[in-house]
Amino acid sequence: MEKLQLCRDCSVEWKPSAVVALATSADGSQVAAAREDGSLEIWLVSPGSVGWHCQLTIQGDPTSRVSSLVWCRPSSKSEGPGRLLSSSIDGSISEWDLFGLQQKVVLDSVGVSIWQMAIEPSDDIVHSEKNESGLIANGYTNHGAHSDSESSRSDDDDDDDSDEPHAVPTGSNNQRLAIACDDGCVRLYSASDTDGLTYYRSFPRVSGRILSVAWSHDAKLISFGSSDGLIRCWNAISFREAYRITVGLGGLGSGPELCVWSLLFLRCGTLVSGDSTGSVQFWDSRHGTLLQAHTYHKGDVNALVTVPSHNRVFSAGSDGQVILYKLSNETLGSGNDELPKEQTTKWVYVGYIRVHTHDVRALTMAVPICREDALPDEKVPRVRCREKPVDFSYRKWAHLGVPMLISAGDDTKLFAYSAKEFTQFSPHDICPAPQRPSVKIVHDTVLDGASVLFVQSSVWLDVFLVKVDGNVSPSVSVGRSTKTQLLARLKSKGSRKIICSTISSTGILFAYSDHVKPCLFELRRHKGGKSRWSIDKLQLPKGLPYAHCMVFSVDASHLMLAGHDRKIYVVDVKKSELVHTFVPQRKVEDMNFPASEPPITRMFTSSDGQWLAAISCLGDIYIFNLEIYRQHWFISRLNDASVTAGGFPPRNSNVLVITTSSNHVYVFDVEAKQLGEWSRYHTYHLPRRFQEFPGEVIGLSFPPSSHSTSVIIYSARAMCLIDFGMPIDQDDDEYPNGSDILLKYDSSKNARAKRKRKNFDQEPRPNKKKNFDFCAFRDPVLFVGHASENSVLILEKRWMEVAQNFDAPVHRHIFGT
Amino acid sequence: MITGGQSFVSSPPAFSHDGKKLLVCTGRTVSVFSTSTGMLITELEGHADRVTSIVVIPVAVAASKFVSYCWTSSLDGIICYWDFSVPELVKKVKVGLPIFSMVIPNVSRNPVGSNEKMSTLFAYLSVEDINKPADQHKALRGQIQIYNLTNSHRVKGLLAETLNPVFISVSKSGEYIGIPNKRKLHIWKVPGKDCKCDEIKKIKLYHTKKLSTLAFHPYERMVAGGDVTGRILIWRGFGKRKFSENLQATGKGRTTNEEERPGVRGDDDADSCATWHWHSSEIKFLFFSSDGAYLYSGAKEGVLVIWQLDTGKRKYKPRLGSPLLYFTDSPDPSLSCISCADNQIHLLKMPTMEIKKSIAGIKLPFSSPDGYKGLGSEFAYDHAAGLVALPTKDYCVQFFSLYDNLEVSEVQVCEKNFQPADDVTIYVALISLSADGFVMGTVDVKLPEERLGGLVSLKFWKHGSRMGEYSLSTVIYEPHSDAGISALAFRPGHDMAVSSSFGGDFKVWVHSSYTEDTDQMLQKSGWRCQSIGSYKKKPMTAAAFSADGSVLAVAAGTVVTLWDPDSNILVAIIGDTLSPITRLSFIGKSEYLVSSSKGSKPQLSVWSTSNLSMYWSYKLFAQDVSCTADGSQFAVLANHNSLDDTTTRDGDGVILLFDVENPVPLATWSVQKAKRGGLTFLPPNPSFHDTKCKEGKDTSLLLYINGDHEYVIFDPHSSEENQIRRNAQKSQAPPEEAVRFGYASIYGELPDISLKKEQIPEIPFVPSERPWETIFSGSSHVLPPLTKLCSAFLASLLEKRPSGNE
Repeated sequence: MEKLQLCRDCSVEWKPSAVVALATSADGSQVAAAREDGSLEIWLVSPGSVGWHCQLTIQGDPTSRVSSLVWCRPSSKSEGPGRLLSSSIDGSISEWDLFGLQQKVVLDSVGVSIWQMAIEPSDDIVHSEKNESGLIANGYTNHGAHSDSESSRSDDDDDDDSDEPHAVPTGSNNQRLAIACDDGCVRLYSASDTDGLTYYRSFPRVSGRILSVAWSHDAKLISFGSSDGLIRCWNAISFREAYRITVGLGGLGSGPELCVWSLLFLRCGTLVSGDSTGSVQFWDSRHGTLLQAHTYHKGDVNALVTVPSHNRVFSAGSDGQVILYKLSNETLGSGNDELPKEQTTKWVYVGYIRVHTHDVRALTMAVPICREDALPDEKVPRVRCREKPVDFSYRKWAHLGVPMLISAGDDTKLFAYSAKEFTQFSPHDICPAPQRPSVKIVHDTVLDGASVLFVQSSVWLDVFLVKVDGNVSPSVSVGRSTKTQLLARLKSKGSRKIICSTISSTGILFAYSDHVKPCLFELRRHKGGKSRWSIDKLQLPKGLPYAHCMVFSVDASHLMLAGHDRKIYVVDVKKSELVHTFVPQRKVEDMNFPASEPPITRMFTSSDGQWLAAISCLGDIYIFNLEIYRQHWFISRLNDASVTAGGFPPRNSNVLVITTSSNHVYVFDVEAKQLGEWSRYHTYHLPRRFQEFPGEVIGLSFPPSSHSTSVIIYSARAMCLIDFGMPIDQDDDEYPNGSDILLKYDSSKNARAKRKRKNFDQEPRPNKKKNFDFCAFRDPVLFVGHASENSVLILEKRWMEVAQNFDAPVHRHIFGT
Repeated sequence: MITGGQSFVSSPPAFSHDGKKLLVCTGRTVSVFSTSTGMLITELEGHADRVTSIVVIPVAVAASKFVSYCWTSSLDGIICYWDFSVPELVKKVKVGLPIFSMVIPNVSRNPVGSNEKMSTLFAYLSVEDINKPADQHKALRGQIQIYNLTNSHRVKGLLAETLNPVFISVSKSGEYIGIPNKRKLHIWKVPGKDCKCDEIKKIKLYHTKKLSTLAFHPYERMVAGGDVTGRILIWRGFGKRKFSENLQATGKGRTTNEEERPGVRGDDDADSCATWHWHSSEIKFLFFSSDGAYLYSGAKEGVLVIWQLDTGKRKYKPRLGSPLLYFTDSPDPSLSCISCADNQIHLLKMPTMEIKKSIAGIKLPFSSPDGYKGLGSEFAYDHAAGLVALPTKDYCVQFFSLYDNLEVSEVQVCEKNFQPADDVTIYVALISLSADGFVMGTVDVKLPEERLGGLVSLKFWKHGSRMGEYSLSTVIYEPHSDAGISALAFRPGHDMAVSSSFGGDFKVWVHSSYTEDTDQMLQKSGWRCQSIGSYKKKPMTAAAFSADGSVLAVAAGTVVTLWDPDSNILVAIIGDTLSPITRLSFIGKSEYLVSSSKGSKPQLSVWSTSNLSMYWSYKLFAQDVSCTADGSQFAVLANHNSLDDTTTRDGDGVILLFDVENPVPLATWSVQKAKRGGLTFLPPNPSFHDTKCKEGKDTSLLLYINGDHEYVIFDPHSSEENQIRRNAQKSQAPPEEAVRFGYASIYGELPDISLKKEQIPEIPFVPSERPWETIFSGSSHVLPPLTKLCSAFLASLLEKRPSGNE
């Protein structure tokens, strides 16, 4: 292998938008994050650093700002993760269709803004707690030390329950949804399993705006906090006001300026409130009396969340802090043994972590339940480490059944914390490159044979011409910047969000789809000047649905679209007609069934044009033969993990390379419908450092030559080169039999720390001839692609530059003021 | 021999059991101050080295409230037991190793006067193992030992070994003791009855920074630790596993919660650990209030921070003016004291935190920045009043009475608020007092920042009505443009001063009055420059007037120039020294002049003004030179190792007494801590019990202030010591005032009413004519109850015999 040249480029615009709300699904395995631009992301929560994977992205209505997210529990009859509802500032409630990947308005605007929603806790929580011990005995035996007897999954405002198969169906499957409206009214809607929301009734209107709402654990009380500094508790059965709490500390009274942003009911009957003065206060919900008040936030307290055992509370605020409070049992009178001991419980401040540079908007607690095989048992006695736990060490605390706290805010990032060992480990940045623009590169285009970079931003597409000085001596191998020249920019029609796009290998055809319909364009050299370019719109056949994913065939003659109706359409570009429609099926033999599979989010074509691989959002792979227009193979999800990236190498069209969210690399022999030879030998024996790949793998890049056997796998933080033709050298920190766990642990940790330091100190050197060699990036990387056989183009952007575009944080402490 | 100037803040003080006295470690003695007047009551003398800790025995019953006992420990390796009301040394326990800290945890369990049998007292000592070599880097020189005070035997075994001796903290109940040891806290549970080292249970709590101090909560299982970066860590529920194992078998119940110990490092035995951060430098003390609701902390900022434990809210007591060192509370809940690094102890009235009284010692030396060093001594003396004036860190001049060992006054020189945490940018460089003490001159220097904004200002002050009171008379900014001033001297008998500068000139300043020709005819007075002189542009490094004021001597580099101060004429030039002269002084009324030079070739020379030549000289590094006012003797404070400042430790020096005629010293005394020390002759004080005030003999006393500002006054001519005693200490002792308790302390005395009432003669009751007509008039709600009215009404109906007063 020759040396690789790294070319860096940072000209791409990148403007991620803030996260405004988070919600955890009922089974605790998914977290929905709503962003300010109306899009929604579904993150797969999975223990281990390999697990974090952005499963879905749904582009919603950019004009309506989401104010809160609620994930309903699925009833015992229905399948799936339950309904995901969002309320918006304009007063409407939408449902997010995770199969159709679209936002549906289920309740038109009530006329006033909705600030928060809360779903009624279900009756069978009692059941679940009774059954809990049985569950643990079955499911958690491997992780006895970490199984928490109280690990029933529940959450801050959408208290939820597991979908146990034996849960008794209660009288109605309707859950009551309380929405806090701007006009001082709390309205109750009942949400059925299937669709729609029906109005149930309203509470009497009170003064001020209702900003937060919470159900008590037995659903008998409902509390709401208003903008005039009051918390009102109503009996949810008799609809009478039980009591009223004045939040202002120290006789401040209820001013119009005091906003109660967040409320949280604990199982022990304690009500927690967070307000705009930065106080987190604990109240006795029976009497409405103050138990404890903490004012550690320097700005508004935006979110509160508790752990499943309800003995810790986390608060987050506009000062970027996430603060932990703990229930502490103190024994009074311990000084003298004679005196009777008096037990008092108190909520004490423990500590804070501040990783967000801007306001924290939302918190959620997720208890990941892994459907994957457990990784090799990671439970080693933890050595007290002197050095700061590096990011690689994330898996140390992420075990099955361990509650994890997820925070997100105005700095667009998502962070995951260990809820139990909150102060011991630094949080894990699960989203190092939020909302990165999708980038494609094509080589040897008809545009003088140059490479073309194709960048999809939220509402426009950019086509760049890449100029790499090809004749530079290979010794200067690192860090050259490239010149990119903008050829064309295409704005989407009506500034609609672009869902997907693609460019043909010739570089002149490209297509995109918004949530109305797909469009096809051709880049044409302007007649007047040499460097002028114009875009012509080409006709597509009528009646094509909008697409989640699209790809050109290799010879650019056909365009494949994965429509939102879960079919794949093959369109002849020249003739502008529909050639064939695939219906992905689980069983290849059954044909002509209605489309029922999860949506296709990724597609790849082989270089000889024979194969089309379509990958669903859950990780199933469907292989189609484009020559005979038949489904060739179905690969069910690998190891129950999602597919993060894939591709057909240019050398051999029968090989499909897939990376999964559990950081495995699979090589398939498509023709023979089996795992490739390399994969059979090596997939489960990949070096440990690859399994702990920093960040989620976001792409593959193959060298364009036909005799190379290597591939570059990259995430936003690092890239790794795998040469399938070379042996996997089991590095020294790999002990396949795992005999000496402690030793392995130590050495790998040290090696990792060392490597990390080295990588940050000096420029990366990927040109060593070693397999699985890492190259860490300093700045978040959006795209890595081969510009030519020996040069790699890296699109990166300094996070500081990105963060400068954000709104200034509400609270910024300036030292000395 | 009079000693004084001790540091009050070398060790934490202690209150007596009734809160009326404050026991302060002052060097080798323990000084007992009254908390109501702030005056010294008595001293406990008997230790041979610095006293390091005081433990006051609590008193159980009110009957024995006049009993006041305490234990003290000292660096001389002796623990003493005192009755400090008498004062009397009761008992001595010899330990043999320097004791840095001592606590007696079970002292509160058997207070004096309780009927129970005295149980054995165990003292936990932090001693320095002097057998180990000091220069060895990793030697563990600190040890925690246990000593049985009742039978004066050491308990076998060591609790811990530390790199250096550390300060031991004890919980209020005496249940736990703890020390900070590098990055961890060691906490021991003190056993109840008997004491064996190996049975004492111990836990460690880890942190990532070096811990400096700790404090125990009065009744909860909570310990607070402060580290060198200013963080405060609060461990709750420490030792639940280890300390309670034997007491109860509840250890099983805790195991379920063991997973959840947020903030606690590793396997430490605590429930949770929270971090608070406000201070920016090392935490000096932590202290829980006696009700356990607040935590006090202090550090270099000079701000006492009061943390509310439940909510973490802070209150502040700012403007204490100096880095804080210790906080001590008294049995009286309304009184506590705080020790500051400027040798002051403030008595605080507790809930409001007002300073009730301050006990101020002599200001401790501080390091002035290196850029500009006053070459001469930093002290000035008011010989007549027996005061020393010394610059303080907060831009003041402190006047300290040498005979009374008391601060007399403080004069603020610069109009700037002092912030203890800031870098030094302004300091008082020179102080000079005229011979009669009526005029003071000060030089303060503002250091330039980034080479801009430096300022030297010369100020003249006029004596006020009271001792040590000075008011500003004249300010001269940049008297020698931007050059620094090397010396300032007043002309005896005249209102004239001279300032010499490194810039190569000297200025003669005169005091003059002038009237402004305005309507008010204001008479103004001030100092103005009369003349300027220079000699070959050489830097002028020292200046002095002769005793009669007729000759002005200014050192220009290595030569001495003699001037007529009135006409400003150069009279003569004397000789040459090896290095620039830093100090000049006329010897009494004689014709001789003594000069000393520092630098690489130090020299002490005596010059004759009559034949303008060197009389004799020594190669001697003189810290300070002082001459008697009228005799022919002078004293020199010389460092033993005379080389440059870096090699000299602030170690030993020697005081040499010379007669000018004879280069052989009359007497020598070796002293300690001579660096930056001072020396002067004081006139004999008539108030001394001095019997040998004989005619014709030089009776002046010699004062020596060492580098730590401790001083000693002695008669240089007598070989016996202890001839001079401080003037009656008893006179300073305040009368024991009657202290009010309870109700009276809040509302004052009740007026004596009960006795007087009986003495009032009974006024005869003469009923009005018709009381039954008015007795029921008025609205019903103002009428007394019927039961009262009824008897009055019936009585009024009865005919009273007018026999009331017969």
